[in-house]
Amino acid sequence: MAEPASFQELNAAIEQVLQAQTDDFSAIASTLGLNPLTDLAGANLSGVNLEHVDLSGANLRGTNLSNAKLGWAKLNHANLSGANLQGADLNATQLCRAILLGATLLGANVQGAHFGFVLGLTEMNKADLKARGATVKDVRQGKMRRYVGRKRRGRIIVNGKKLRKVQSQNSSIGNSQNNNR
Amino acid sequence: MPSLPEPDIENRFPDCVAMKLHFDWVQPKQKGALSSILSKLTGQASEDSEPFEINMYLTINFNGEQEIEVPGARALGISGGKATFGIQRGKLLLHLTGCKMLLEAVTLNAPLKVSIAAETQQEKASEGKLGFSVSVTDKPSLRAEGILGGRTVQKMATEVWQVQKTGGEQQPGWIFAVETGDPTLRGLLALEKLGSLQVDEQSKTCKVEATFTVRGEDIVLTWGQMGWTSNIVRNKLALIERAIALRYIAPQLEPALSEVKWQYG
Repeated sequence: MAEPASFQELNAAIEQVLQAQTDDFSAIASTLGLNPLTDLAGANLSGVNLEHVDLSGANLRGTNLSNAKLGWAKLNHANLSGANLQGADLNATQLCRAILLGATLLGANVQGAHFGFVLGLTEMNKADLKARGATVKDVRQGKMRRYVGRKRRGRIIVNGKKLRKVQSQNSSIGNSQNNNR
Repeated sequence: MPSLPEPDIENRFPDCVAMKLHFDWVQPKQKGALSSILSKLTGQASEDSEPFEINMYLTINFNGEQEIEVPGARALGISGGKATFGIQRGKLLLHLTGCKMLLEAVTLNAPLKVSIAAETQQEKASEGKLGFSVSVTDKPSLRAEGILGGRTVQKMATEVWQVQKTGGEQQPGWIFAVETGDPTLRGLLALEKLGSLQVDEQSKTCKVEATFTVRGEDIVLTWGQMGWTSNIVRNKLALIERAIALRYIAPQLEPALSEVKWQYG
């Protein structure tokens, strides 16, 4: 959480921000003594420009991001529970493993956005996002890919034990290996 | 019955949250049900001459119009140098010593309710009908149905509860949170019964410390009717608002926005 500031201290920081030529989100936050990863939960960020900003792992619970510009931003592992993303521009935004429980995405531009292994989306939400141009991967697909990758290196982890060779008598592994070829 | 003392009340920002607690003895008639059950369970006689239960009532007013001098006001072009703020969520917590509020004796569960039109609005085509009808369905929703121009429009008005009970018998708590889409909590609860306190029979003393606390993230600057029209880049304004709320106002609300202390015996 942001450190308390005296009236004079914050007064000087605000004057500095208003006089600065930049409207870069991270630079302004830094001048005002805010940490974007921890200090934006519940904030009103409607209409802000967060293009290309890295907010990976940020706590954005209940944050109002309606009509915000989030193109190419990184929101991987961010907590967006209850966030309002109505009308936001999420063009090519990365949202891998983000938490989206109760988040609103009505009218958002999700063209090219990456919703990899996100939490809180129903199958209907995922289908809708795909139809609107987003890339959506679910947990099952992710596990399969990792599983296949390890087989190619000739090692499989079963119940936490590493096996050096793929055993031919294991039908499921053999089948999936054949299928992959 | 001896008269009960008045509580000490401190409201730091009364135009944001103003809170009072009221106490009175549970009348013998009121005690009946709960006391008889307890006495049966403990095997004690229920006809005590001394009353050991105290009713507790809450009066609380939420308003988003607390004026405060804010840093950067001159640079922001705010006339008078003051902005206003309110809260969108807060927690009332009781610290009880020598007494407890039995869960079954809690009565404030969800009274701060409002009725709002739900977002869902169903439309369906119909032919050859014109008219309007309203019907009250099972609580907590009200259904309105209008037929106009060959289209039927259904709107659902749903009651939204803005208070939620938390905590146990020694530290009961209530969370108030705005659910209406308004920026801040607004409304008055007058003499709303929280529940009954069961005083420890041996010590015959009871101490209540009530605090109303707010997290920094739940402070909302409403700016008031300042005629503030400065043309400031959205990124700057959003973060300035946040910095004022978290770094300047929130520390002033510590350790609590409102406090009430009361002791009997």
